[in-house]
Order: sequence, then structure tokens, then C-alpha cells
Amino acid sequence: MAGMRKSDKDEHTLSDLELIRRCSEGDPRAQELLYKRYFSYAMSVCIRYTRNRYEAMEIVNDSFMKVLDNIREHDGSGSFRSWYGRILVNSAIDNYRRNARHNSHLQISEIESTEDCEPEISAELSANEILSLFDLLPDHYRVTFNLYEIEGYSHEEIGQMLDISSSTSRSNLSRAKKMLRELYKRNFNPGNSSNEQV
Amino acid sequence: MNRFDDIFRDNVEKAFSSYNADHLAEEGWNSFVAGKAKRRRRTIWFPLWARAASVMLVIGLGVFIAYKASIRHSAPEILSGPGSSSNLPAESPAEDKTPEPSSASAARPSISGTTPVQDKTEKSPAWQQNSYEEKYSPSEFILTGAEPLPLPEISLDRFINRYGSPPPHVLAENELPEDKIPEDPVSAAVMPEGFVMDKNSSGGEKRHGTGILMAGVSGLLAQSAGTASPSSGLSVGFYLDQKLSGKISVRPGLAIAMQSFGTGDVSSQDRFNYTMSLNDGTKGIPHSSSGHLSMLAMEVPLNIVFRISGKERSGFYLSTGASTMIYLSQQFRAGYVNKYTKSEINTMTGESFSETRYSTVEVENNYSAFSHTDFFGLANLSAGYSFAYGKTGTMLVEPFLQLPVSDLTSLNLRVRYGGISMKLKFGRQERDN
Repeated sequence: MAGMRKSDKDEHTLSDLELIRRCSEGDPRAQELLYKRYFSYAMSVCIRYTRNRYEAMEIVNDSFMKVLDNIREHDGSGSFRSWYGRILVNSAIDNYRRNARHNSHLQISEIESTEDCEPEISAELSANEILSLFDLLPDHYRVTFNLYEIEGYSHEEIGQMLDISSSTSRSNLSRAKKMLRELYKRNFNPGNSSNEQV
Repeated sequence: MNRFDDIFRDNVEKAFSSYNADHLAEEGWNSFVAGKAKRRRRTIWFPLWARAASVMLVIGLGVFIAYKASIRHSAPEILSGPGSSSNLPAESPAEDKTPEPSSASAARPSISGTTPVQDKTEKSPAWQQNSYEEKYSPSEFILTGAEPLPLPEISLDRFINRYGSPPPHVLAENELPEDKIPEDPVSAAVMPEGFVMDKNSSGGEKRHGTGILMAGVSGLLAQSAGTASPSSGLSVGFYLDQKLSGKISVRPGLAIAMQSFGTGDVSSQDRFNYTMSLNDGTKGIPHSSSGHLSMLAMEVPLNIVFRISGKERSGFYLSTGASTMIYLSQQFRAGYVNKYTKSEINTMTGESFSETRYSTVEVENNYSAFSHTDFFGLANLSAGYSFAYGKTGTMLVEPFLQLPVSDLTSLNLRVRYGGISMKLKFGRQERDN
């Protein structure tokens, strides 16, 4: 029993390179360890591009399948995390392009017609609070915001990834930010809470 | 840049750099393992290359059958031309003599002891004057049911003089023993004069195996379950009519169909649930929807045709079978109306009120080529009438009905089709359907 615990502990202390080497040899235990080691990171990327955790989990699984298929190409010179991150983002974009494009005209027009005044962020937002705001954004706004602001892609790169022009990408980003300001004001500003929802 | 934007971006980076989803890792791994096994099974059964290969196989098979059919049709034409004389006897008999049989199997003279058979020599002087090869070139041995071969006058005495003994059995004019009927036109072609093929032996049985190519265009109406009115479509294709017997033939085909139809109200189905929360968090419920599917599909029908009445090139027939649909393009557009009901209580006055709002979500899905195939997903039923069109053509007018055997398209819809098909047969066939 003690030996088994020691073995488990050893497995969890294995380096990324060692896990990758064993994964490339088809070791299922190493694959599981690598998957779980980077699961939270993978979810943190994918959840920002999707509407729920199950969809995000599907993208994580698709991405990890690509990792296993191409793991021999990872020579270990670069960080596995950044390599995996690119695969995750690309898979999320593939998923976005493949799936239905939601577009709620009512909500967009309603939000965009309001005055543009900058709200104050009084406290740090949690991941769930941010996700609740992202959930209200149209998909193409959310994806553009994440690609530009968080992943650091240029508008030209985003245009190529999403098959749109760079000016459209700029426009989407601008509108996304405007909507986020308005949504934040509506959902987190304490000013207009005279009515209590049942 | 706005200060809000900077702060918000920093918040996002900070919140997700420490994002913890370890409690879902086990669930995720299990679903990954299950998905991996499923994907492996799917890869074994229907990889993309296999789907493409199956399409090519169907097309290749159709071309091969068409080629074989055309070869069979053109066989008599080959014999009627100035063909090789390799099957002719090597020796060259005298011009005024009847040629010697080259072999026992190929030459059994038919003898008419009393009634001379009409000789073509009167009409064609060259028959007697030309050399043997010219006289007995294959063109002279075309065996048709309509016109018997020219037979020379051979008396019984002459036969005895030549062969030394009388024939074991004297046949009547134009009679040929059944066991001596050549089985193929080639052996019949080298048969020397004096033989007349029975009309029924000139390939009647082989006609059952011949196929004939058809081109067709169909106008159709498609209707998905739940929709009030059907939408139109068009199908263009080629078909091969392969006779199995006098009354039955099998008719495979390959057609391209362009269809477009409404999907009806599918908002009650979970997979078409596109409800979104409002800004204040109010959850919506699906209210109604209307969708439209436009698609380009390759249809591979396989039908059996039963001829029920008529003669020669005209008549009635019934057809039944199934079609495989291979989708080359599917474009789905839909609008979903979601209903939001918000009940509120004014804490100041104590009054309660509810507000109902509607929101429309537009969805557009484009499915790639070969993303979905319905193997024998449609049952075909049709009844038709064929009639002569021009000298050799046959026109077929065929109202048809196609009913779904299983869920069709990538959206798993129950679509039924009805319409009318017009087909034109190329070439000629003794009995047409």
C-alpha cells in the first residue's frame, strides 16, 4: 500500500518532458496524468469561448486528442503549456466556426442604443462573474475580445482565423467592449436595484 | 483606451490564470476516454476516404454496367462489318463450288432435297463471281430473325456425291436441330451457308441481360414533418435499366438533387433549443421557430421495375426500391423565438406584475460535403408510362413518392418527397419499360 502511494506520488512529480515522452510511447497512464495536470488551464481557455462547461470540456477533449496525435512534433524546446494553449484556441475557433452562430438582434440593438458612459469597477470580478458577462455577448464579439485582449492576436490574425476583414475585427472588438461596459453597469452597478426579482 | 477596459482585461487575466476546474478533471478524462473509443470505432467504419471510395465505387459500377451493356448491343454491328477472316477456312475452294465445312462443330449443312431455297445470287452477281473470302465474309453471315440466310440449292444426290453417304437425318427447310443452335453470335457468324438460325435463337435470351442508359429530370416537392406547405426541388440524373426478365428489370442510378424545404416548428426539440438569458438573468423558453434547409445531394437510387402492361416501347410499369442520399451541401437557416416572462414585486408598494418579452435568435449552420450519408434512407414508389419518342427513343413519365425510412439529413428530419420524373432512354430495346 505504501509502495503504491509512493508510486502515485512519483507519477505526479514527473516532469512534463517525461510525461510527453511516455505519452508518445502510448502510455495511457501518462496520458491521463498529462490531461489532468493541464485540465484547469485548458478549461480556463476554452470556457471563455463557449457558453457552458460541457461545451468547453468537449473542446478540451478535442484539443487533447490533437495533442496526442501530434505529440511527436513537440520536441520539448518550447513550453508544452504554450503549445497546448495554441491548440486549445485553434480548437475553440474551429468549434465557433462549426457551430451555430447565435445572433440576438433584440438584445444587441437594445444594449447598443443606450448611452455610452464608463462605469467604475469597484472590486475584482470573479471568473464566474466574468463568464456571466461573456455569456450575454454575441459569440463573434466574445471570440474577438478574447483573441485580441487575452490571447494577444492582432486584428489581421483574427481576420484570418475568423474569415473576416481586420476592420470587421476592430469593429467587433469596439462593440464588444461597449457592450461589456453596459452589461457591467446593468448587472454589477448597485444603482438600479429598486426592483427585486422573484 | 478606457480605464474600464484595462481594468476589465486585467480582471479577466487574473481570474482565469487561477481558474480551478480540477473537480471536473475526472469527469473530463472519462468523457475523453469514451470519446476516444467512439472516435476509433467511427474511424474504422466510416472514414472520409471510405465514404469517397464508396461513391467512386458506385459511379464506377454504373459505368462498368453501362459499358458492358453497350458492348452487348454493339456485338452484331461488329460482325456486320468487314471483319477478320481468321475463322474462315484456309483453303480456297473453286468459285462455283459450295465451300467445305471447316470443322464439324461449325459446319453442318442444312439440306433441302426438294425445295430450293431462294438464292441471292440473282440479285447479286458478285455472290458467284467474287473470291471465297468475299463471298463468305462475315458480313454475309449476319443472323437476324427477320431475314434467313441465302441458301444454295443442294440436292441429296449432290450431298452423297460429296460426302459419300446420305445424311443421317434430313431436315426440313430452315430447320435446325436444337442441339446445334450456336450459343453465341460469333460461332453463328462462322457458320457456312446453308444454315438458318431459328428466330428465337438469335439472342432472345441475351436481351434479358442487356442494360440501357437513361437520362432523367425530376421536379419534386419536399415536405418535412410538421410543415404546412411543401417546397420545390429539382433532380437530374442518369439511370441504367438492366433487364432481369421480360417483366422485371433493375434500375440503379446516380442523380444530383437540389432541394429546399421548411423544417417546421422544431422549437420543442432539445437539440434546437437556442434560448439565451436576458441581461437581467431572466431565463427564456422556446416559443416557436421556423427553419429552412437548402441542400445539394447525390442520390443513388436502386429500384426494381415491374412491367404490368403494354407492348414494344409503350406500356405501364410500377417501380419500387430505395435511395441512398449523400449530402454535398446542407445549409440550414432558422429563426427561433424565445419567450421571457419576468415577474417582479415592487418592494416599495408591494405590487406585483409580470412582463413577457420575446427574443429572436437566428441560426445558420453550414454542413460540409460528405458530412452525412443516409444509406437507403428513402423508400421509392412510382408508377409510370413509357411511350415511343422519335425513331429510337423512349420517353418515360413517372410520378413518384419517396418516404423516409429513417431520419434524414444532418438535422435528422423526416422528409418526404413527391413529384414527377421524365426519363429518356437512349438507344433501342425490344421491350421497354
